Amino acid sequence: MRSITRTLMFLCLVLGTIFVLFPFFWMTATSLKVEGKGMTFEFIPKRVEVLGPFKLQVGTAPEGKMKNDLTELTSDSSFTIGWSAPEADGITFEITDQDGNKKIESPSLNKDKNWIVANSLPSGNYSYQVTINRSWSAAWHSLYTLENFRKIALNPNYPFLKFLRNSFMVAFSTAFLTVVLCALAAYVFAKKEFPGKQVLFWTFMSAMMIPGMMFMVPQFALVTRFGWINTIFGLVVPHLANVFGIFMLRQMMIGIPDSLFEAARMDGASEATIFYRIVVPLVMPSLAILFLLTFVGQWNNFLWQLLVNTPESDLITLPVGLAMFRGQYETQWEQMMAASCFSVMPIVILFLFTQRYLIEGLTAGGVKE
Amino acid sequence: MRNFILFFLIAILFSSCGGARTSADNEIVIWETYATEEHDEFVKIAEDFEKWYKAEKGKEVHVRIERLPFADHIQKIKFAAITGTEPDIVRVDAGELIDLVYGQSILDLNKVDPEIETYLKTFTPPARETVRIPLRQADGSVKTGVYGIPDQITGVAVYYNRKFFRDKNVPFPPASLKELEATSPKWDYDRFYKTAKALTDSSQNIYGIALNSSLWFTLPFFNAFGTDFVNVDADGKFRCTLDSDSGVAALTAISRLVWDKIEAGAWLPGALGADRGFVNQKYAMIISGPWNLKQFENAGVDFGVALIPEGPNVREIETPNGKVKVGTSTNVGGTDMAILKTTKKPELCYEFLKYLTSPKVHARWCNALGQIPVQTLAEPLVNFKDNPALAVFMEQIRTAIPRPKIPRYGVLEGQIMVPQIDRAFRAGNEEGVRKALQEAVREIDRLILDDVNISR
Repeated sequence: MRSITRTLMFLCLVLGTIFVLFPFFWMTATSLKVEGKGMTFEFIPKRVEVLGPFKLQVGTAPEGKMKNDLTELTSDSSFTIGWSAPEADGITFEITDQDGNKKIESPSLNKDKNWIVANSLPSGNYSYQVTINRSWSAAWHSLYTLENFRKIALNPNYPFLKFLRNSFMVAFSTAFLTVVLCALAAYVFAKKEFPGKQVLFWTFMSAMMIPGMMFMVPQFALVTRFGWINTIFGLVVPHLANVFGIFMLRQMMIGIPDSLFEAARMDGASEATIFYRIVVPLVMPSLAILFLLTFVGQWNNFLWQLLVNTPESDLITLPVGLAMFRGQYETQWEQMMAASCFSVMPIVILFLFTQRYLIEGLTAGGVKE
Repeated sequence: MRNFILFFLIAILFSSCGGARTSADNEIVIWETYATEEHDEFVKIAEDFEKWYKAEKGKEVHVRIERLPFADHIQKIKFAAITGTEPDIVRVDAGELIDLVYGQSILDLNKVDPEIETYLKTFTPPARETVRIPLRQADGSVKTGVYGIPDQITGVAVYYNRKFFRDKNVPFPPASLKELEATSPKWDYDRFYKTAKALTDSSQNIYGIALNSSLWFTLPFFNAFGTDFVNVDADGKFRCTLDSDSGVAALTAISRLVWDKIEAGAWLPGALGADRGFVNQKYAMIISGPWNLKQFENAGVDFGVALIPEGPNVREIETPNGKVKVGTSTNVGGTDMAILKTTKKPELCYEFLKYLTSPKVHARWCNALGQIPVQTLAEPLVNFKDNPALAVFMEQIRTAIPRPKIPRYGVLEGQIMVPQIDRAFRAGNEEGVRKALQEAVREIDRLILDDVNISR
């Protein structure tokens, strides 16, 4: 019974993992697809593809064709039936007349790499079906390509590496400075006494109740007044006052016994030494979480980074760059996903390096020793 | 390590300080939101303009093109206007231009060229109307200004999967006004319903039609039924009239497809959307625009494009082959190029916009990118032979009725119409549709038109 429960639990976890990872899988698969296939549910390349049947009426032009269909009326009773599939190993056309009689035609590849067969048909209605045979390699290349990554990396109008560098710069600076400022403020609110401390703290807290969009206009006005448009100050400074970070670190620091500080003072430690040698190591998991949350938040921040940079700015960041693939009506899914694959890498690396702290931070206080 | 991090931070903080933008007397700055291919073509046209200007006027000019993502471009322009970092020309969505005009950021081109209306007559009528915007004046009168030059136009038609039609032996719908006139039975809402029903095979998850519940995609149906969106009442005030009998009939006609489970439910949150379902051969017909032509071709879908079915609003329209009576219609989308009021070079900006929309240059743009011309003089120069599906959209655009000229399109669409169209689709009867439209009208009057009725 126990093994059945465990197996079921394991299955549930596997299903859950697949469900959670599906968007990542979809992003990666789409980034590798040829143009136009991004929105299809096709993931396994087809070696044999059957298209049609398409109607053919002798004496009239074909009723409308697919992109690769080269079928043409060449005279009143003659057609050339053709298909463009240079990657195919072979093609057959199955022509069916109005009585249901079938005729198989095997065309050859002409110098333009099109499969063409000339046909003279008695008057009447026909249909033709195209069967394309490909090698595994050709089938793979008809669905998957690395071209999207090449376009992203080498397009001179789309300086992807610069966007990546800018995003890293902005996210790292904001996260690092936020952690420093929040830790200092939290230490003061947790362990120091001064007049009006509670009032000031709860005033800060009340700022958490105001939606972020409400800050945008006054922050933008200040940034403009300071001349920080198109500068890293404009991108970083408005996000440094993170009230949630102060609150979270304060709660962690309150839990540090005062006796530790008294012992350190008796040993002659300065305020800076106490902060650096005692407080910081003890709240390191929370600092790591705050760093991570801020980094990810800034890495994905779109609107502020769009507003503070004019289009000619050297500080355009990745979210703004990625949005260029999304037009008014259409989206270049394949290239957008290729760029997204690059853009998630720093986040994945960051998570790998900080996962130990992340787990410690999330479970802190959960276990009583 | 600690020192390195500190040095790194200080270095990046001080390396990136910049200043506000400046532009020289002979330079115009344009913010555009084109897709990559369009951007590349636009850059070439701007370079050609510089050469042409030097040859014609003997002066050097420089066109500085700066690309914005389409997402939130209006926010960006508004914020730039606050800080004085705005360009000389902006390319904006036709529906959003009105917001900038109401915000008094856009130059009325009558001030640059008193003959602008004559020039505007060379544009296709629905595109022309997107830049002619009426504003209520202090004395209560309404004055229409010209606040830009149309640079792109788009609309929707019916995409259909030919394989599904062949398999069920259903004739293809008409692809031109000529075919529409000749087809029998008429391509009206009754035939549209029967066609969709014949193509539906819910056991295979294949549906005859997939709909969007947005206003933009529903406007062709309102137009075909002759629904006026906004009218001026006896007091000279704008009032929404969407809940008229024709409005209810239009929305009921398409809601029936949903009620009878002929429609796929593509409008429901989380459902397989219309475009994606069409690519994956689940939906036999969808309503969409020319922007999807390339994508559907590349995805290997065997599709055709047909006109929107005819409704009772039969009217006479101008075509290159003379006047035709039609009951079909589409909506109007696209973009306009507008000159900001703060520009110091309005004449030069206007000169560029006229060059951009001159017949030869505009035809070159349409041929390179497979787009519908906005400039009627460019039509004979556009090659539709290699792109027959685009020709269907061109025919459909001739039947377009301009969308309501009211601001806050985002509110109108997302906050008011989408929930009410959803409500109509779920209603199950005509009375429910009427109630949804009455609620929509109340909200439109309250959230949008009350402000429009204030004199400016």
